[in-house]
Amino acid sequence: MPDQDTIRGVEQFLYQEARLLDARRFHDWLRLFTDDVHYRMAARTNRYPRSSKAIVILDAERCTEEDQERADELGLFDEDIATSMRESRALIPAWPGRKTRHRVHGT
Amino acid sequence: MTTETAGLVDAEHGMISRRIFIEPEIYQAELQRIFARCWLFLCHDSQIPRPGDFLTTYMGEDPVLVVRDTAGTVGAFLNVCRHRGNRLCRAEDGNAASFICAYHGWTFGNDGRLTAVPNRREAYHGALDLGDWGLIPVAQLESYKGLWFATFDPQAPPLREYLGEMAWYIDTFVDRREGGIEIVASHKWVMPCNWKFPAENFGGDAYHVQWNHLSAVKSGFSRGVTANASSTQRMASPGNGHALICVGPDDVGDPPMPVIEAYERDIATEVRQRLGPRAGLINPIVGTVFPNFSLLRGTSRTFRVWQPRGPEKTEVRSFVFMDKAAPPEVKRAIRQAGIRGFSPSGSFEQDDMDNWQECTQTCRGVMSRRMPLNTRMGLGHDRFEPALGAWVSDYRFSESNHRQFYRRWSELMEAADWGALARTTTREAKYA
Repeated sequence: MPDQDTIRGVEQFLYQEARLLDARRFHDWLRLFTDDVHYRMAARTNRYPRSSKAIVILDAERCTEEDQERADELGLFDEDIATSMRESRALIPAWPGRKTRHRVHGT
Repeated sequence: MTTETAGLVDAEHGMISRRIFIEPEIYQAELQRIFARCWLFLCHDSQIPRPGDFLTTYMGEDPVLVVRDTAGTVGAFLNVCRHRGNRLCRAEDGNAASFICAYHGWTFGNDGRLTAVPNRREAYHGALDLGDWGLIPVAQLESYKGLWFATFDPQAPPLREYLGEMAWYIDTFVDRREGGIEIVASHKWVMPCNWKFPAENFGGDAYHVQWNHLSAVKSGFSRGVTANASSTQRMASPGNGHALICVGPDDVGDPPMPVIEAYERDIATEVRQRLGPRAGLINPIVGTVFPNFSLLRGTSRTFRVWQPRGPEKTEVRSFVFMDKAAPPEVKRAIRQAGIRGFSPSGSFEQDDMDNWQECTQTCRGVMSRRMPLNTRMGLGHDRFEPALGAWVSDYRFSESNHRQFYRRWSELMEAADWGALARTTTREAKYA
């Protein structure tokens, strides 16, 4: 269990990040990342697990244990810091009032 | 089929009623007259290479199971159990000898045959013949250079005839090198727009790139070749509603990554030889096979199917493709370019989806719906070009392809069957 100061530090960091996004300060937001960041959003694919009663497998080599995502599948987003900075530099806002949403997931 | 659609599309004058993008009755008629009639793209060979490999997709709103059976033959069936109509296969892809319905356990082989029914003898008293209750197959199933298409209409012309001159244009995406292409990955998501907006956009909207995609082009993730004022770009329609944006033969629209550009320089001569003399005249980089299968070779290498999900919703099935013979580092780069440009998070895709969504949603209003869409750009400034086997615009921006697409849509909506369509179709026949 982390101490209260660490928890507060993390909370304050998340608030700061959210404020930068709300203010559309994307360049400042990107500076929060370390240079070795790998930003990936996994895509999910529905597959039967090997133990499924819904199919009889013909070729076991064609079925992986992993029923959601295979390592070679495309992410929904998959960039490093250099390409993210490039995209951010060219950002020319075209739309008024687009909202940002903030969600915090624990793992 | 009583929905009256005559007069909603005036291709000759470039005026299109917005009712066709929003009204449920017209949408229902589309499902019958367009999607239950036309050849629709299912998948590529490389997605189901081995016996037992399967994937699930849609033809119109009909769920379809595509499967390579144990003997190696590809089949396509309604993904619907013959008993209570339950969706049979729930996975997106996999490998199976047989599929077992979740409801009562009816079991179908990977060749579509019904092979087992629990308590069949006792409960049906010997009156249920397994041979009568296999999965419903599509009416016709054919492949062109590894691309599998199917139609629900037994009267539809053979695939090669349906594609017509579009076949060569498809070659410029899938047959550039020995071995053809492979599909390596896919995305799937839902957009709140009518399916025709993305179909027409990929088929001929070079005009929006320079303005709508300005940010994405400036970011360096695309060459934005269709915005290049010095290009000899033309809109080309090879007939039957198929349509493409073609840049000049020496224009480069490839994803601007050094490894891809070097690869393209290395293979340029080989590709041009393989595709023949027409490749020295024109370079197709994005297009739509009527009605809802689009191909893109520029910023990203992607195929996509715009699956209709009601008048205001489209499910996108998007695939990254690449030359099978390309080296691994090139394949990695093309994957990356696929995510960056055209995917749910893609810079270009996000711009496009926003526009298509608003073009659809504003059709809800009574007065807004009465406003016809101006589809008049380049009216009277396109001609048939025999060397290209296509109607071609005089200028690098034109809505000539939009008009070809909607004219075909209108012909199909009004024709009673394929026979009637052949009698009423004029321009294609004249030049054939």
